[in-house]
Amino acid sequence: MSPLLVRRLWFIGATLLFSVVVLLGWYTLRAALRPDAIYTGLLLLAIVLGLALFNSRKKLPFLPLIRAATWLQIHIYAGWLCFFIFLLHIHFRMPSGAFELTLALVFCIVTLSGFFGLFISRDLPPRMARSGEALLFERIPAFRQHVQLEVETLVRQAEKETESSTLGDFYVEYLRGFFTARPGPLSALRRNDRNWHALIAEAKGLDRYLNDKEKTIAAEIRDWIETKQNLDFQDASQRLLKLWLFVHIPFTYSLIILGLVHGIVAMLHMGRW
Amino acid sequence: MPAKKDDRWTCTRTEANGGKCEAGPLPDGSCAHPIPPCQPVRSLRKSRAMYVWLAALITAGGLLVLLGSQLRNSWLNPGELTNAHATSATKCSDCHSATPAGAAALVAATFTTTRNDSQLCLKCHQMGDLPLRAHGLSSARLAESTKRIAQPNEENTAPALLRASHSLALKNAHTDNLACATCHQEHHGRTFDLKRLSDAQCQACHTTQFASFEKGHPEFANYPYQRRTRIFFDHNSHLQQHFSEKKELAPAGCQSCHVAGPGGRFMQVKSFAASCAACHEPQIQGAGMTVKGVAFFTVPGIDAESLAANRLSIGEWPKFADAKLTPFMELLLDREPKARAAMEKLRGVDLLDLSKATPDQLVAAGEYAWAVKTLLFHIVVEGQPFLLEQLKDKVEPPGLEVPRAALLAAQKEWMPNLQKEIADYEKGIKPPLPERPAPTSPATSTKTGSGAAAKDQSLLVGDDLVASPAKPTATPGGDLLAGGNDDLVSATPASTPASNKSDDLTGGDLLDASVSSTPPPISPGSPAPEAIPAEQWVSAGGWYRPRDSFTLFYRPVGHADPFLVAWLTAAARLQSQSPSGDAHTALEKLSDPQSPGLCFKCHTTEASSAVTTVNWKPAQPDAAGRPFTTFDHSTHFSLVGDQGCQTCHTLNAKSEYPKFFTSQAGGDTPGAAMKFQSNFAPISKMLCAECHQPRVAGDGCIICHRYHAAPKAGKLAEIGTFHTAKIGKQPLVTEPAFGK
Repeated sequence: MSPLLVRRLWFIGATLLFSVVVLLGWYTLRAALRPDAIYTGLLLLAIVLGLALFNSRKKLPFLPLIRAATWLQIHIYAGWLCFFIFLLHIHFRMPSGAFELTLALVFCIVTLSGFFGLFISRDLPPRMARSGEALLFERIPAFRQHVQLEVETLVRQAEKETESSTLGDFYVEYLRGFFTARPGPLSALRRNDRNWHALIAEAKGLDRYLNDKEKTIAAEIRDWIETKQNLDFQDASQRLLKLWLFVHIPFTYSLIILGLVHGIVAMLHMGRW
Repeated sequence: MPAKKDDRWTCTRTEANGGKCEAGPLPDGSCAHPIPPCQPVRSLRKSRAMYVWLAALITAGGLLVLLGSQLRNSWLNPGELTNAHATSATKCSDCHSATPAGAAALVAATFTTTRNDSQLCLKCHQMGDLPLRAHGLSSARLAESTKRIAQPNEENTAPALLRASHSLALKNAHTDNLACATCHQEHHGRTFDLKRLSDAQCQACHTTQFASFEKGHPEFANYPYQRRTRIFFDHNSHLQQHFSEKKELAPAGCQSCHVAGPGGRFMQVKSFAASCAACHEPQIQGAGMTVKGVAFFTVPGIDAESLAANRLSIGEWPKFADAKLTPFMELLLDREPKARAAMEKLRGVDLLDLSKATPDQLVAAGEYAWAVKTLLFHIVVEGQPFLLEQLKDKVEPPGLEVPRAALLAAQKEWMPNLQKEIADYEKGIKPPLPERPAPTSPATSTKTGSGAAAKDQSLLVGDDLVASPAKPTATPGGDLLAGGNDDLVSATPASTPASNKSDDLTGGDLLDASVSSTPPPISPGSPAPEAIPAEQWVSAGGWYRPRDSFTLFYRPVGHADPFLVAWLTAAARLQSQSPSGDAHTALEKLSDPQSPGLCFKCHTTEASSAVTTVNWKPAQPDAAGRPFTTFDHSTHFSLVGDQGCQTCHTLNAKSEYPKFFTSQAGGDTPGAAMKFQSNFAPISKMLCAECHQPRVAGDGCIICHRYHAAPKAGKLAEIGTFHTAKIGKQPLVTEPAFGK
C-alpha cells in the first residue's frame, strides 16, 4: 500500500471518527436540553482559528513545529470536519437573520473556496508537469513577450524571404491575438482546448498555400504556438493556484471577525447555559 | 549619464553594461537608451496580504457602522418571532436582559452563567409560585413524585444516547432553577412551535428513561382511580340489582348521570336531582324509616333517685326521661371543660341506674345533669348568640336556625323553674333534695318526679294524657315565671293536658296570652278531630316534638337539607380538634348511614392531618389545577364501540368497592381515601398504546403530559403591567448556573 494511500486512510479515518464523536455529542447535548449551538459554535470558532494559523505557520518555517506538509493535511481534513460541524451548528437549516445569513454566506465562501483550492491543487500540478516545461511564474510575462517577438521575427523573415504575405496575413488574422493575449486563470480548468487545436488545424491547413520556405517557417510558427499554449497553461494554472487564496484567506479573516461578534451576541442573548 | 566633452556628448556606458552604444547621446545630452527606473511589481503574496487587510477593515468597519446605527437590532435579529410574540415584544430588551456598557463588562457578561432573562418571560406568563423549578413544583413534591413513580427499568429500553444525555442534563433537578430558554427557543419564524420538545428532551432529567410509550413507559398504576370516591356509589350493585328492580327510574346509560366537565378531563356526576333523586329523594324524606327526624335536643335519662339518695340535688328533672344524649348536645357539651370531664367519667355507666356507681361517678352524674340543664338554659335564654359563641365559626348560619318557640315551650314543660334553678346554681345555691315519698300501694302510686316539679308535670302522670289542670306551684326561690320579663310565653302555665289532646308541636298556643284553663265545651255526639302525628305533620321538613317525648326532633326538608349539612360539617370540623373526644363520638353517631336524612349513606368524611371534612359534592375539577397528565374524553368518544364507556372503563364484578368505606378500611383517618378499589378495572397502558403508536395517534410525551403542572400556570399576566415594569425595581430570582 502506497504511503499516500496509508496517509489518506489515516486522516480520513480520524476525520470520520471525530465527526461521529461530534455528532453523538451534539445529539446528546440536544437531548440533555443543553444549548448545543453554543458548544458547536465555540468548537467551530476554535477550529477556524486553528485553520487560519496555517497561513502564519507557512510564514514561520523556522519554528520547530509540525512540518508544513503535515500541517496542510491537517488543515484539509479539519476543514471537512469544520463544514460538518457547521451543518450541525445551523441544525441543517438556512439561517434567517441578516447577520447570521451573512455569516453563513461568508463561511460558505471560505469553505467552497477551500474545496476548490483542494481540487485544483490536486488536479493542476500533475497536468502542469505533463504539459511541458515548468516555468517560473514571475518570468512568464517575459517569456510571453519573447515568444511573441520570435514569432513576429519569423513572420517578417518569411515575408522578406518569400515576398509573400500569406504568413503575415495569417499571423495578423489568427495568431497575433493568440500570442499577445493572456488567458484567464479559469482556462486552466479546461480539459480540452478546442481553440488551440483549431488554431493548429488552421496553421496546418495553411500549408497548401505555402511554398517550401514558408512551410518551414510555418512549422516553426506551429512550434511556437505549442510553446505559447504551454506557456498559457502554465500561466493560467499558476495564477489560479495563487488567486484562489485571494478569496479563501481574506474571507477567512472576515469570517473570524464576524464569528467573534456573532458568538458574543449569541452568548449575551442565549438566556441559558 | 552622457558626458560632454568639447561640445560633444559621449556615451559613458561601461563595458560591463555593453560599452558605448552606437546611437550615442541625443543632441540635448539625454541618453538615447535610457534605463527605465526600477519599478518593483508587487508579488501576488503581497497583494493577497493587502486584500486580507482590506477585507478585515471592510468587515470591521461595516460592523461598526451597522452596530452603531439604528439598523442594529434589525440586523442582529437572528430570525422572526412567533406570531404570539411578534406584536407583544417590540424591542430586544422586552425579552433579553439589558446589555452592559463597556468592553470589560460586555466580555464579563458574555461568559457569566447567571441570567435574568426568564424574569422577563414571567412578566406576561404566570407559571405558579415556583416558575423556574422543574414542573413548577417544590423540591419536596418533586422528590415525592420521583420516589413514587421511579421504578427500575429492568428492560432498560432507553437508548444509550438517551442515558448519556441524562448524565449531561440538570444534575439537581429537584433544587436547581431552569431558564425558560432551556426548552423554548424563539427566533425560528412565525409559525414555529415554541412548545415543541422531543421525547428525548423530556426524559433528560428523569430517572426512569425508556425508548417509547409502548416500549418501556411505566405501567399505569391504578389509573385513573387514584383514590376513594367522595360519594359512595357502588356501580356493581346499581347496575346488577337496583336498576333492574326499578327499570322505570333507571338511567339509560352512563351519560345519563355523567357529563364531560370543562376540558373533558373528568366525566363529572350530574346533580342529585338529575341523577339520584328519582330513587333516593323519598328515602331522604323518611320513606320506610321508623323515625324520620333527627333528635336535636333531649332531656337524657338519669337516675335522679340514686343521686338524691346520695345527697346530690339536680333540681327539676323529668322522671320518665330515658333518652340518651343527642349528638348535637354532645358537641355543645364538649365545649365545656366541666361537662366534658363529667361525660368522660361516665363512659360506660348506665345513667338510668346509678345504684352501683362510685362516689366519683355519682358526683360526675350530678355535674352532668347540671351541665344539661345549663345548656338548655343558655339556649333558651341567649339563643343564637350563645350557639355562635360556643361553636365559634364551625357551623354555618343554617345550623343556627333552632326553633325558639318550640324550645321555650319544651323547657316550660320539662323544667318550668329552670331559669331560677340555674340562677341559684351559679350562685352556688342548689335546690333542696326532693322529699322521700311515703310508701304507697302500687295501685295508687303515681310516677312522679322529684320535688315540686313533679306536680307540674301533669302531662307525665301515668298514661293520663288528659289530667287535671295544672296549677302554678311556688318553687323555692320565687317564681320567675310570674310576670317575669323573660317570659316569652303566656304568664299562665303551659296549656293543660285537657287542651292538648294531640301531639304538641310547639308546646302550646304561644300566641294566645290568655289560655283558658278549661277546655271549650264540646257538643255531644261530634268527636273532635285529632291532629295527625307530629312527625307526619312536618312531612315537608321542620321541627316537632312527639307526644310523651322529652326530645325535640328535626325532620330534614330533603336532599341537601341546610340545617343538617351545617351541623354535620361543624361536627367534622370539631372532631378534628378532639379526635378521640365527644366530638368524635358525635360525628360517629351523626354519620350513621341510617340516621334520618341518610346523609352518610352516600356522602363520606375525609380526614387530613389538620381537619376532617364532609364530602358533600363529588370530585370537582380544580379550575386552577394543571395535572401532569391531560386527557379529553370528548375527543375519544368516537372511538367507543358497542360497549360504550366500558370500552375503556371495564366493570369489575368482583370489586370490593364497599369494603373501603368502612371503619375497618380506615374510615376517615388520614390517608384512608387513598386505599381504594374502584368498581372499574384500572386502565392499562396497552389499551392506550393500541392507538397511541408513532404512525397512528402519535406517542409523543407532550400528547398526554404537561410540563407546567403548577396551579395557575399558563395564564397571562395583566397586559398593562408588561411595558411599565422595570427589572431594576423588582427583586429578581437569579438563575444559578445550569448544571451546577
